[in-house]
Amino acid sequence: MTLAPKELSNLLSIISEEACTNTFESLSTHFHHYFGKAEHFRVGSVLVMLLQQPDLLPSSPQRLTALYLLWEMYRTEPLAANPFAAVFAHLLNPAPAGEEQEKVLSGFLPPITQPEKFFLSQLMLAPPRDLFKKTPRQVSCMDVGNMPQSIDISGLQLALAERQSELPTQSKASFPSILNDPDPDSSNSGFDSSVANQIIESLVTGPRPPLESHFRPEFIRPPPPLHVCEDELAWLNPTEPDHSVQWDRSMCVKNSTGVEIKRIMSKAFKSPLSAQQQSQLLAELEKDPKLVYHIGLSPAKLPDLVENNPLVAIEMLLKLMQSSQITEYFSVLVNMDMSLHSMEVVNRLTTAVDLPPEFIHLYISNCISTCEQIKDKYMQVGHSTVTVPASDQMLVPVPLLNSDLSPPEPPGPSGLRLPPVPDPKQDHQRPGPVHRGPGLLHRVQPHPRSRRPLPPPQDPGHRRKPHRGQTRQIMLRSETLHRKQT
Amino acid sequence: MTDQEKEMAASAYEAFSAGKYDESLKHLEALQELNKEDYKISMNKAVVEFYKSGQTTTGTLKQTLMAMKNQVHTSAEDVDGLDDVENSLLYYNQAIIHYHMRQYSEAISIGEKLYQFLEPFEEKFAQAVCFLLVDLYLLTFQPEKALHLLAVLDKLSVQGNNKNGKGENNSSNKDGANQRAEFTAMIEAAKSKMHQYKVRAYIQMKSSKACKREIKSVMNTAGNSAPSLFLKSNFEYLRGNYRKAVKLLNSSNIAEHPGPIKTGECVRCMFWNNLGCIHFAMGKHNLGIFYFKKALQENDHTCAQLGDAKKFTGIPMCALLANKRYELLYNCGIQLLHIGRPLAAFECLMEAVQVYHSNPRLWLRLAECCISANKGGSEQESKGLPCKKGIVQSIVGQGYHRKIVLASQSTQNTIYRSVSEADKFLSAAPSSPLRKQEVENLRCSILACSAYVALALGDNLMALNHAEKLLHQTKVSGSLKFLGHLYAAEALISLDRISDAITHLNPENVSDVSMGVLSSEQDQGLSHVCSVYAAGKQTPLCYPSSVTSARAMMLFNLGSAYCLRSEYDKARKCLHQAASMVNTKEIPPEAILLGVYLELQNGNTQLALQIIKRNQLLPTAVQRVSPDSRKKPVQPFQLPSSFTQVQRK
Repeated sequence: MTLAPKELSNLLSIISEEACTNTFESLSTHFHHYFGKAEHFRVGSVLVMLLQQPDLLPSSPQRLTALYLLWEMYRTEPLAANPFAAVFAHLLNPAPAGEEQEKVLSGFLPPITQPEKFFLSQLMLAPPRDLFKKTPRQVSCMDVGNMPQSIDISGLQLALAERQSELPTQSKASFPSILNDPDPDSSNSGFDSSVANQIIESLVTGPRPPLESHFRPEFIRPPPPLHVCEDELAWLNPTEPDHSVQWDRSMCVKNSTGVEIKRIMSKAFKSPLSAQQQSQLLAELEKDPKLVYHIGLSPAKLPDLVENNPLVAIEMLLKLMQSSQITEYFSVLVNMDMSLHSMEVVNRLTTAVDLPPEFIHLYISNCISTCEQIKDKYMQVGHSTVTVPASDQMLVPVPLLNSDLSPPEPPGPSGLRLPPVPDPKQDHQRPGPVHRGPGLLHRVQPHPRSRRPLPPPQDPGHRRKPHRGQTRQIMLRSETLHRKQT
Repeated sequence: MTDQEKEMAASAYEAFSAGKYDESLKHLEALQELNKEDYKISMNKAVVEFYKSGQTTTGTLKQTLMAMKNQVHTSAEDVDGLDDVENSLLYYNQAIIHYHMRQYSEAISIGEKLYQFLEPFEEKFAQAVCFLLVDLYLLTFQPEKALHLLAVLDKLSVQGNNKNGKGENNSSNKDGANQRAEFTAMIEAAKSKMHQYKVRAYIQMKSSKACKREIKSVMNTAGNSAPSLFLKSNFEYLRGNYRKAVKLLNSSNIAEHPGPIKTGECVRCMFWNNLGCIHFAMGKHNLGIFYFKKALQENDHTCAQLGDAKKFTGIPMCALLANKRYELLYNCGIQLLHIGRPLAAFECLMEAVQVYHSNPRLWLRLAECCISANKGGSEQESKGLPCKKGIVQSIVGQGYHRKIVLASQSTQNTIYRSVSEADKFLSAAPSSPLRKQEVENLRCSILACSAYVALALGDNLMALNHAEKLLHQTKVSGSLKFLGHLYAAEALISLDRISDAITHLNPENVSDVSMGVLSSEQDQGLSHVCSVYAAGKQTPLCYPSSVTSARAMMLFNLGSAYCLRSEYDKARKCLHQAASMVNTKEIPPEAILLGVYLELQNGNTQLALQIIKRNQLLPTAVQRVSPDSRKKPVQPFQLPSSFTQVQRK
């Protein structure tokens, strides 16, 4: 928006005191010679600024020139479309004589003389052509006593008000930021055009000239304080790390037994091993507890081993208990198809080690659902035979299915007496699959409802909930089995 | 495998263990003649050569190992997990090299793979793998994982002891028993190391109770070594016992440390750096910067000794880790920012951010640098109000536009980052990871900065958005809440929603201007830092220090808002009330300009000029509310006394 110094000096030459002897018409020609349409607004802004500063534009003819140019630049357009129309309206706005003195500063536009006012109002109306044949100096000396003093500009004011209402409040509230502050001590020095021109130049040229800035209530905007936090800086601790490249001691130590064992293992995944192979494998495992990690038993291969050689699988799993991957082996075991062999493996595991409760939980529910799906009665019997002692075993260390954690009631005359559980140790030592035969189930059969009073139904939607200790827990299981059988 | 080969392998190893590398190489070469298939012979050869060079040929070894790995994988097509057990040492050695080249994520991925097969390994090797992983987890600020692994290590050592007992019973296997004994000795040595690791992990997790317990164990096992003393100092520093921390640092005998070439650690540099941290926390920023610079000098000195570390040759492998430049630059940058030198801070942090690019707090700090640099600029502009003949320059200048844009970018980066990944612990290398509460605080600060930057850029909608988000945060500190209201109001004003803005400017909105947010860490009390830190810190110049001054600031802004609605009487009242609330010296320039504005609006140019020249609000300016007073002619350049007289009339 700034004027280049050259442009400014051109403008100043047009509105200079000396140029006021030219007619308005010739001033206009000069003006259009120097400035194209694109510059008009910038030039206009400067002119308004000069009008606001009486010390910079002291004489009446100069003011007339400035006003004329402001009007002339946009004469082809409707008056209200002139961006500086507000200036005209303000200057023409009749103010009561008494308050003239104070009004001076309200818009920073000093009042104008009567001839100026007359001239301006002529511009507002359709100006007679011969008006522009006069010079600014002539107009400034006109006797305007008998001329009409005020004209009706309410139409213009209305249009201006309308336009202003579209502006944001903030921009309407602005003042120009150039404020007069004459130094009282040097007030006698009078007007010096070269000094004035210097000041004008400093006001309107260069990047971000004062002309462009404006003054309005500014918000206090404190920047956010620096983020406060603890322990932000990097503290450095010596750690004396000693990680170093190592020699591989497994170089040239592969032995033949390893190969043989691997061979046996690969067979074990496919078919049952002979008694001799089995004992050889187990013996090697006993010799080197780490061997189990080297023989290729990945969790994915576990089901094959379980189906074909449950005994080997048990021994291997027991050796793998310390492995970080043991949970993966377990989850494979839980999710594999239910079979007598897998149940047997789980059963043996429960007797030998503490299994994670969630594993047992999952396993039993799997068992039950498998049992329910099996059509063959004989198979059911077989399955439940294994399941019952298994679940019993599992429930003794962890009352997991039991939502009620009250201390277990010893199985007494009030409760159902379960068949004696085989001693885990004894069971563990006995090789071969667990077979207890159907006779076991007959002892479970007595219906609990016939023997003891029912607890009050707590949850009708749910199967009767055992609420006291392990005895009833097991009771529930046997009842389920019983229901399935009859 | 023939017995001859086994014998040769054994003697090669023996020679290697004894440090007779040439002899070992001879054995290995002979072995290679017999057995062309086992790549492990070539690997051991490479290892021996590496040791022979004084561990300086890291780059070469890396390439050799890489080639071997490719070879192994092409030859053994099915990777069944089994082969990985077989090739564990190859992987381990690779991980070691990655670790020393600071390629931590690669090292971790290899280490975690090895960890899956931990059981088959002999105890010593398993332990080495675990220790490497623990170190890596701590270096990458994953203390929970490190602790988990340390628990595994504990278990491992217990097992080892049990087995050892068993071995004695059997005693048939003499070799095994020897190995067990060796292992037990190693476990003992490792014990104090484990305690140290645990302390480091707990420090990162900021759990002070556990930390205290472990510190004790450390001091019991390795009393006066530099690592233990530094750790204890770190602990005391975090608890706010700065004197004690300094004392501990001083008691470590850093002069006798073997130096970075041997150990890969420049203890002197760490010493200065830590002193810097302590003084920063104490609010002694000048000393802080002094020590950080010293640390940087020390580091540069070390680096000069090491030569060009990028080539990975010519210096021992461990020394590759000695350079701590980026940590130091980070610290330096933060310190410079707090000392009020944002541009220098920016330079430091920009370099640091190349390495720690995923640290949201660092990005926030960069944004703060930009804001503070920009702020400084406009402050300078506003300082001298040029009152030359007929010229008063208005305030407000932006300057440094480039920087602001940059600020905007970085804060936005930060926001996206923290919003997307802000759960539980947020990593903030090179400092300890942030806890949930800290992340929330960070988010608040980021939102405040974003709102501020958006305002400065004229992006009012965005500013309003950020400010409202800030106000909606559950645990926003009093001061930021205050700023949130201010920023929201300013944005609303610019959006021509003045009534909404005025509701934000209700002084009752401010009830607390504390900067620190009360952190919820009754259980893990390393909270001292926060309070002491905040106390030692100078509040920024223009920042309200009390509720009253914050309210005054709100009132000033409320006055401006009323002005815009042409409610000048209300504006005057606000201005008057606010001015009475604060010290005359604390009245911000904006408020003075508001006074000027009001006078100009009233037509009292002279009075307005007076206000500007004296750079203070004049009592009459506020009193001249009644419409009658406008008629009184105002004399230019009246003295304040005459104003009071006018006032009495």
